[in-house]
Amino acid sequence: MNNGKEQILSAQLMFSVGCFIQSSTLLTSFIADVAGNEAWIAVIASYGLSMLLVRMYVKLAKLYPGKSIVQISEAVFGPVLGKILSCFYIWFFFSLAILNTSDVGFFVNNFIMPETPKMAILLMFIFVCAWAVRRGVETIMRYGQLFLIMGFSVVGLFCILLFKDMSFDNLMPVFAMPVMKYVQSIHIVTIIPFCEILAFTMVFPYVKDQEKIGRSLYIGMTLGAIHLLVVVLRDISVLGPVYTHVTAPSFQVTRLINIGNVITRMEFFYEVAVNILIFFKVSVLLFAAVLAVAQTFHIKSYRSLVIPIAVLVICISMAPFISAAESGFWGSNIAPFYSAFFEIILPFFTLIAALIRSMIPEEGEAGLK
Amino acid sequence: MKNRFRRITGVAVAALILVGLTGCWNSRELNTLAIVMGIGFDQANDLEEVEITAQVVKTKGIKGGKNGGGSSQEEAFINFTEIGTGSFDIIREFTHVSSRKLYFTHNQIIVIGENLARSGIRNTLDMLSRNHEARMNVYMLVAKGSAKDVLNLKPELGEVPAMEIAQLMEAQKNTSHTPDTFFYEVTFSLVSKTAAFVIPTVEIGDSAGRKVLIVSGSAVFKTDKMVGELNEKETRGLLWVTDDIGSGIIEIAVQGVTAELEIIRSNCKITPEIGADGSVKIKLKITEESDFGSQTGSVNLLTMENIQRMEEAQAQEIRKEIEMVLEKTRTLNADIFGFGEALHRKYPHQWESMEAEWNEIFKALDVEIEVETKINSIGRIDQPNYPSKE
Repeated sequence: MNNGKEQILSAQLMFSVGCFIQSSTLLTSFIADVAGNEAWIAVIASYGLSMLLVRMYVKLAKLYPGKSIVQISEAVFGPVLGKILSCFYIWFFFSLAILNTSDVGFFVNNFIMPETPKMAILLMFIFVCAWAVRRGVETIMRYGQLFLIMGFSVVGLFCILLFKDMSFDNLMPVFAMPVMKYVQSIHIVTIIPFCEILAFTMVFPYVKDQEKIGRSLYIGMTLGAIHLLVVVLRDISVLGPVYTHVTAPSFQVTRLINIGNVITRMEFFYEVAVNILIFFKVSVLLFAAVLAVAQTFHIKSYRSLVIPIAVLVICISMAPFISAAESGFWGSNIAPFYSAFFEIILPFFTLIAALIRSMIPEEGEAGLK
Repeated sequence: MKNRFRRITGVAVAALILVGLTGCWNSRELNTLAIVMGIGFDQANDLEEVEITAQVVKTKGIKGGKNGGGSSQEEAFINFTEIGTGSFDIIREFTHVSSRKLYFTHNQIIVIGENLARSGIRNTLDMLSRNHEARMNVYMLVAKGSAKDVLNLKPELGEVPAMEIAQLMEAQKNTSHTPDTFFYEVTFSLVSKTAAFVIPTVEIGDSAGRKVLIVSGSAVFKTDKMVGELNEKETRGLLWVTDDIGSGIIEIAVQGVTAELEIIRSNCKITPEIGADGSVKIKLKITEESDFGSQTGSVNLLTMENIQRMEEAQAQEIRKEIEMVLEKTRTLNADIFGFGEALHRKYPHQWESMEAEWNEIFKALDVEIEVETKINSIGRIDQPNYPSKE
């Protein structure tokens, strides 16, 4: 499926990875509920752990240059088992797209327009995402570059405006919680923002400079991690004890900005920025799902699949959970294990199998490439 | 054929976007809004119920620049009152009497009546934390008496009492006899197990025969009930410790004459210490800078020795204010300074065992106060207006 026309530069990949991680700032309430005021430690530790885990993806890319993870599964495990694994990946990207879209629905519904029916919000949102995916992956990656800079500017601006409300004392008691809490929060932060860049393994075939994939991923992750850390630090230092009580800490924090009674009500900046960032994330996930389907079933072009899958996403994201409480429970308790299966266990076995394969000399086979 | 199909699709998509992306579902026109400027909560005669007063702006009553004489005697505000059990329910009940649904995003102040304050405010305020229209940086006040009366008082300088009160709160920084407490600061303390908080008090007083609002002193809340009051000096003692001093005047007596010093800035560092025997000590270090404002008498206070004497007298005065408030809070047993939180930050493991007995520990707490002051500028004259002694 190497569409020779579309090429992504490694810089675009780098920025897009950073932007993808930035989009998770809406989800900090998952981390807040578990880690409380020490969430920032969890972020730093998870960053280190994720760097190790992402090496798996980079190694797989190096062993099979120019292939996406679906194609790699097929190459490593053979046509039948590979396709089964690919179906797992398809489901994973699809479910992530659904969960993120429902997050957008929840966010807009809860804070901005309470009476608007979710269908209207989600329809508009997915409409734009599907349009972007149909345009092609190059378009999406270019957006990533732009949005990363936008994300940094918005966060930087808010940090400056909130500086007088920050009290760094709130960060203080460190290492005062039971160890299991740290383990749990590091688990959550590693899996949910950082390792979801598995979606970018679908983009690998389009990258122009295959050797630089590793470097792009690492630097992109670092950029995203810096953003996440700054956001978490800012939220904790402004909100202090209420950090765990608030539904969306990053949003609540922007409502407190009041400079000279003139610069107030800045939350609209935040709302717009979050919408744009999640649009990017869902576009990438949608693209990953669509391309995975196309590659698994050997369909020539993925463009015709975009609309049906997008419609399915809208339908299911109307109500993936029974209630908001279940959504919170899912995020803190179940999602880390659910996603870990797809993000860590499957690529790990693929990597082991690939390494074993590369050690056995090929005996007269034409190769399954 | 294909071109026409494309054009039709294009138009359809454009129409879909126009309709869908403008967010009209939740729109409210400006003339259906009743913009609330201030809310008052009182305890109704039936102890379970709350009386809510909402002050709504009447734009017709606000005099423009042209109407000089004030021919229209309309007031610029109207107060709606309702009684009920749940805050959200009461606020919706206002639609029975008000032609417009209340709109809270411009709310300036929250006033709580004294009776309600004494019986607990946490449950009444839950709605304000949760609702997405209510803002977090709203001034909070406790009214001595009822909140309804405070909101009914027609202001002298302004037109809407709530805005007047909000501006009054902003002006308090100049004397620092009252804290300006925001709603979100109150929620910080409500969430903590040991912290107590203060809310400024407002009362209706007499000034030259007219009724005016007087804001001074504060009310001390423990958990969420009002337990006592602090007068002006005690409140300022608290503000020295929590670093909320804006400006203010300190009066001291040196060499038989009195001097007045204007506070420019102040900083307090709280250091908790747990001794080897488990005793808890809190060290406060206050650094303050002030300007020389005025003096009485003919003794020139601007000599090197006198300036030093003034700095010591000033430090003594600050120490006195802090000791006054420490004593008051020991009798009330309310940790309004955040000493518990400071201990938690520095000694998280010992704090776990201390937290449950914080009430007793706080009563016996040993507080060491160290004050360092400096007098900066001296004014335009360097001797008092007396004939010079030959």
